[in-house]
Amino acid sequence: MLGLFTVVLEVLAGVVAVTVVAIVGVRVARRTRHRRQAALAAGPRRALLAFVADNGEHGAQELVAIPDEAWRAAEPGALALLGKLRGEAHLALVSVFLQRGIARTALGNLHSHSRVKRARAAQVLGDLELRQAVPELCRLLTDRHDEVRVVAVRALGRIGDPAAAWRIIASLDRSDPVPSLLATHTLVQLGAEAEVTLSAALDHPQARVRAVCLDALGLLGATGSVDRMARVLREDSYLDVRVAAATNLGKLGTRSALEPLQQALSPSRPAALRAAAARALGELGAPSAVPILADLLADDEFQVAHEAAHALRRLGPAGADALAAEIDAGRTGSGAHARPSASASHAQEALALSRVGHGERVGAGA
Amino acid sequence: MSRILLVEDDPDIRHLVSYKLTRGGFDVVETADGLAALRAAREDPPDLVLLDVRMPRMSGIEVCRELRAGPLPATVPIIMLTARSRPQDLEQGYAAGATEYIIKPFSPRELQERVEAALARVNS
Amino acid sequence: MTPGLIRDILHYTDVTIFAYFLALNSSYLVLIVLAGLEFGRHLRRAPFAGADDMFRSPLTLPVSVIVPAYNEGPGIVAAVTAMTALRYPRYEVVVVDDGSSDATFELLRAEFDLVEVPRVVPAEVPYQSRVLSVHVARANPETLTVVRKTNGGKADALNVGINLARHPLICMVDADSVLDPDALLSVAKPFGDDPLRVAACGGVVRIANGCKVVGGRVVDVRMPRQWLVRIQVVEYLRAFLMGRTGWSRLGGLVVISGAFGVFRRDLVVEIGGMATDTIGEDAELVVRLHHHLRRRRQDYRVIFVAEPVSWSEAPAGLRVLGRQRRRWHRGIAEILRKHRGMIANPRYGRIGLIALPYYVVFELLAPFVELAALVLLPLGLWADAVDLAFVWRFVLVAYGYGLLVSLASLFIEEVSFHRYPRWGDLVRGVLAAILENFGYRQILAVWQVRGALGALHGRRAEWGVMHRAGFDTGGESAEPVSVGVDR
Repeated sequence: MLGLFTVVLEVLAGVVAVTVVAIVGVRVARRTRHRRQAALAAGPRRALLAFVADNGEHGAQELVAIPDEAWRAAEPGALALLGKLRGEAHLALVSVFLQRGIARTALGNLHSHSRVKRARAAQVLGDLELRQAVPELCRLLTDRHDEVRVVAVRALGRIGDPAAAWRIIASLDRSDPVPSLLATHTLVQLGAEAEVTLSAALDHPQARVRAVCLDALGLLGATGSVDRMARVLREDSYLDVRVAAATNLGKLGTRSALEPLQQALSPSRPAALRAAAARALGELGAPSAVPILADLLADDEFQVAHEAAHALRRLGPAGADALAAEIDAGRTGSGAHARPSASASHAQEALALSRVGHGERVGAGA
Repeated sequence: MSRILLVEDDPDIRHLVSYKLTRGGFDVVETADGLAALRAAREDPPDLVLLDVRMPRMSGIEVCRELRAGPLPATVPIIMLTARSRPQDLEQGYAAGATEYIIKPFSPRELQERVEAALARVNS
Repeated sequence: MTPGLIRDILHYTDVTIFAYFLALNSSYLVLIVLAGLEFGRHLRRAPFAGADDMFRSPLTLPVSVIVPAYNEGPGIVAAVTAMTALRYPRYEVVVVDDGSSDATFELLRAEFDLVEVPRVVPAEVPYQSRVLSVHVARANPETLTVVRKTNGGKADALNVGINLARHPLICMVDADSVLDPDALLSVAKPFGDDPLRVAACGGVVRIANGCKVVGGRVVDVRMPRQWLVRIQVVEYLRAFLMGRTGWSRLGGLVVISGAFGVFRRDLVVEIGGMATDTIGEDAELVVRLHHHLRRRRQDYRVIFVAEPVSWSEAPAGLRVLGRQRRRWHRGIAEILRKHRGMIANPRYGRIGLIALPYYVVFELLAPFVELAALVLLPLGLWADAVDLAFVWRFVLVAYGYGLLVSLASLFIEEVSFHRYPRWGDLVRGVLAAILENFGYRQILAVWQVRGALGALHGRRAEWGVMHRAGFDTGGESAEPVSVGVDR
């Protein structure tokens, strides 16, 4: 027993000593590497900045001629710079990357066995906004690993080729899809040309797909799809999808969205849908919705009444008048010492907030 | 020579813009954060300010408000640099006294043209 | 009992204690290795993690940052200013003034030009105090709300904040926390990457003592001046950074510090908000969340983010430190008692079978065993149950192994985050890892035992005394002090 102890102690002392040495070693090694990398990257970095500042008019050959080691040190900075630039400067920098063969390497790495390599390659292709890479990136949408799929979707968004729309939509219809918000953002980045595909996908059997397409259509301001969205609002079997339809009809800001939203307010509909519709009417900015919203202030559902009040706040002077009228009604209706009715409280809250926005001083309950 | 105060925490963008504008014949004062920018503006008021919205310590909106409240006359253009272009984001800046926006990612050439145009408007 | 029997008992007890120490430290080492793997995984993925895309996307889930404040006058303006300047696309800050008797509110009003607004406060989660008034900043009413309420303790203040929060994610932050500009982005990111499953996400808390803080931001990381705090730095690295990352990787994270955590609001509402009947309401919330979601057989994740996000002032004096640690341990004991039905219950999966039993054996009981060793070893020596050669080797192995665990933490910190750039601070870290074994561990065990006993026995009496103490400032930020009414 004691002998064992002694051995254990010796081993332990050894391991502790090794750990201390390792800590110091790691630090020394890291610092040396950093210094070396910084020294290597300094020249290329200056050249890169000068190059893009001159819109890439001269200096491309010098950048292409930078030795590989120095370029590798400067590459992360150059990739970051890509995301910060537009116009000729961006194009010129991309062409330097292409001449150095970065895109070719990345396209090859999309087939790598390492998922980290595949993801990195997809990221680079997205940064370069390389349209030729779209088919390959679309293939990556069915990758085994979710993290690779996520990067592929983001890269497709950066590139913005509407041809990728239906592949992205299709990739949502699987057991572990890419995050909905990311897919929505990407579909929006594809631009107005993707609208037809998105609109057609509103008939997709998968609820998640319909919800994502509704959000994308709303953000794109796709006024041509009002009728189809209104149908989803009326008929869809999923409440969440109907709520999304209401919300996004409000974002379109078109008169034709008014009618379907008003219908969604009827008391027979679920409270969450009615609240979303009330909110959407405020977003829509149609003063003709004021009387309907004013009626909702007295609704039994907290969320509905609350959203109605704030929608009125967004509807400008007509909405503010309705709120003020509700507060007056609440005051005269009950006795002087009675607490204001729920509807008056909601109105008061919304009105006060609208006045803050306009820089007026308001007191509580005044 | 017009003096431009450049406030940007991202060293890449700062060096890039500074290089571009210096070559375009401007006198560029670089600062990396809002407090340094306010100090620089008090010491020697610039003819134009290029101001990043998203910065540590003090946001560009706050810097803008402080500049307008103190050292900077309303005629001096303040151009904001931002990555967020939603109307409500832009409104915040205009309310704080910004004159115009350049949206990131940006083109160095366009930036120089916008700076020149803003200065020309003041001088005319 | 014959002296021989006593000797035998003492002998075997001492050997058992030794085995316990080996198992305890081995478990730490396993967690640290897991944390190391996790950091490696994370760092390799940083280039394509897409943090910038998240910042630019108009769809990134908005967050309500809830800041309970009780007599935070000296630091509140700097803290709230820093919190309103975080790098995040859309969020609001809700400060809940829990009936402060100092100028907390007046300072905020003056600084942010607050305007009172009538606001209907829903009661989606129950709260016991009364909301006095709601105020918003005139310049940006959508981003800063300050609520005044009657004093009701931290948990109650958080509940009022949850009711007023308008966004789908809520982030609970201590008023004296110093946040990194990217804190929200880091901790809310898992919700964007895996929105269907991520239920909660905790951020790491580091020690701010000694660091240079300018305008509510840590700009230069240094080791604190006092050894007592330096030891805590190493302790935080080992227990919080490495330990929780390891548990997160195992899928068994049960503690998210109240100093910085993000939750899905709908889930918090569903389980009734913060509990006002326990000392460690932040950890209790996470256990209850596990409880609820496991019962529903839902696929979910509770995640820990290791990037430095939040910095807190650690106690620099023994008295305050003692109070803090008694409370933490009492919190653990109370939570384990409240949720004892989950322990070793296969229905609760890894939480029930691994995480909670581990907490009972290696967290709750560890100080008891440590103290037992301090008593029984000399006793065994005196009764001739063990010989001196055994005892000194025992002590050296037990403490040496503990030292190795601390050094392994320092090593992984050096490889992954290396936030302490000075050579001197590195040496101080190593020395603190050694010094920890002389006195600190022992006195810690005494406090922890007292805390645990407090939960089991003196509950009623102590609650009477501490009734409505509100919550503490005095640098005890990492965990709460609020006290509720007895059941």
